[in-house]
Amino acid sequence: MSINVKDLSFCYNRGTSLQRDALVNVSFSIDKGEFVLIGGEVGCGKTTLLRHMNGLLRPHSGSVTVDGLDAGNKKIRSKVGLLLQHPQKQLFAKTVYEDIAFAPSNIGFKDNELKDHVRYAMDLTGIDGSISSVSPFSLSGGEMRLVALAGVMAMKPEYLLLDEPTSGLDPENRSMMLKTLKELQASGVTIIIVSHQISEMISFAEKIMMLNSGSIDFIGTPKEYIFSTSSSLQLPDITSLMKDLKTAGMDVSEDVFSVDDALLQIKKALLNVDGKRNE
Amino acid sequence: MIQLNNVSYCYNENDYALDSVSLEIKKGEFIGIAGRNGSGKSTLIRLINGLLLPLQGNVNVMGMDTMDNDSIIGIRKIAGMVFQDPQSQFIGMTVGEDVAFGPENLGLSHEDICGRVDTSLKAVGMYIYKDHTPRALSGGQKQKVALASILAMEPELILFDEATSMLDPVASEEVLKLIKQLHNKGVTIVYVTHRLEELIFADRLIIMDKGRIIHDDNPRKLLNEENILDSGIYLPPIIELSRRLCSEQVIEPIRLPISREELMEALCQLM
Ligand SMILES: Nc1ncnc2c1ncn2[C@@H]1O[C@H](COP(=O)(O)OP(=O)(O)OP(=O)(O)O)[C@@H](O)[C@H]1O
Ligand SMILES: Nc1ncnc2c1ncn2[C@@H]1O[C@H](COP(=O)(O)OP(=O)(O)O)[C@@H](O)[C@H]1O
Ligand SMILES: [Mg+2]
Ligand SMILES: [Mg+2]
Repeated sequence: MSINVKDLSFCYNRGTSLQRDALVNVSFSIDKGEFVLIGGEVGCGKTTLLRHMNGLLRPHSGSVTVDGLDAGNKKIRSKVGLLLQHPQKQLFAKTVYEDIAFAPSNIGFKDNELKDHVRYAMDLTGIDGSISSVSPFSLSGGEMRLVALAGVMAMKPEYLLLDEPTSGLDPENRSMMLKTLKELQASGVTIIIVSHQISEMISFAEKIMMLNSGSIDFIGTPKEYIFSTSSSLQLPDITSLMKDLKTAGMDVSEDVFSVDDALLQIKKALLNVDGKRNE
Repeated sequence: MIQLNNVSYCYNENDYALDSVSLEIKKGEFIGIAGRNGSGKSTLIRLINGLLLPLQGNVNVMGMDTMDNDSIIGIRKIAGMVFQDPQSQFIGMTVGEDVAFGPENLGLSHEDICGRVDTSLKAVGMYIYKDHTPRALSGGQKQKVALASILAMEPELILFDEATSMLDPVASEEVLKLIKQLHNKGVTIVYVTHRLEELIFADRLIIMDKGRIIHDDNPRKLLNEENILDSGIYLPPIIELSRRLCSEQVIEPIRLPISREELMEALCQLM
């Protein structure tokens, strides 16, 4: 059970003077249940890639399959949910409840079954029943984002694609969003996130993929990412600091993402130095 | 340059998005603003360039009151604004036309306009997209074009409302460098962001909460304050590490290191 992308190429405005390759020979696979981060500079093809994984765009060459089905298959839309880069655009109904219920009722769920889908989505995203009858547009940015996410989750997708789910959110809302995504993964949903904030999410990820001008630049585990010698990869500030300290001769390791670990390592290293000095 | 006196604003009755805010910004200052979602940052910015008018109090930009109908045009000429959502900002059919729109309104010559369009598109790395339609750009590319449109007007004051939220780290660093250059040339900058890393060199850091300014101080001083986290901001990891190294007496808490370079320097002295 997995998403398989093979030799995928795509360009916008094909055959016109504005033709531009957005994806070039991209191949990778994502296993069911994984937590995957996709990064890369502005315009490198991340959103274009996500839109291929739920069949919104069709490859010009190559293939995309989800659990063996071609991504163009209608069944894919309920199997693979997509949260857009501007989730406000995903909200339109008069109330939060109607918004969340839209997709499942659209494909024919009614009464208890529909309620069950909505309840599932609200529970997963931690949306309080007390706001189900208010307008989604009266909510804060963070809540709106969660409602849009609930609308996607109401289809009970097995794969969840998220395009910059934390941009524009304040720190409290960001950690609420990340916590929710971690819980979704624990309930069996495969999480695929496009983000510029790799360092913020690196400790959650199992696989990291970096795109560069439509091609894969790096794919591997967070550890491999940090030890990669490719200079184009953006490291978390803490990791860069540890690397610099190590280069300067301090006895610390470089695969550190958290402040706690960095503090421990630095204290230990400095004590060692002091110890030697005392000898 | 900018003066707000007891300014209040509500979108809905009795629900204050901005609650008696007074603020003075001097010419050439770089002001950073942070705070929770819904704390009033965008509302404050919109009041400064006259997109919103105060319900109470008054807003004055270079001697012009925003309530004065005639001043709005004058204010728009000297104050550029880059919005949170660049979508709402596009008017032209092509990226080039879009960037030209501002300078055209300033009544510049054709050559001057073309020159400014090319220079500012090159400055943000979007020159190759000059003939594309702005609607077909990626999220981050739209933000870059919105920025170029403002640069082309060469304003004396620029208001940035989360203008780099969709840029990758390298691009946002480049944009920030560009903004610092403008600042060095004397342009007044008001810069809203959730990423405090971007504000450590600001002249003043303002934290908003519930429609009020709850902190307004030098960033190094503010980021060292005990209860700063109560205001809903987060500390960049490097600064959190610095604070803990200071509080555990590993490094001397005389001057809190607030960048990676500063912390590196402080630690190397101990080796
Ligand atoms: N609808 C479209 N029509 C034409 N070109 C497009 C369209 N959407 C995107 N492009 C182009 O395709 C390339 C990849 O865009 P894409 O949106 O996938 O980038 P991205 O990696 O998501 O960038 P960002 O980080 O800015 O969101 C860019 O050069 C962009 O200008
Ligand atoms: N167009 C609007 N209509 C109604 N309420 C709004 C509008 N814009 C903002 N608000 C409300 O005003 C308050 C301040 O919002 P805003 O200035 O956008 O905050 P920030 O930019 O700090 O996130 C919030 O309570 C928000 O919900
Ligand atoms: Mg994108
Ligand atoms: Mg805002």
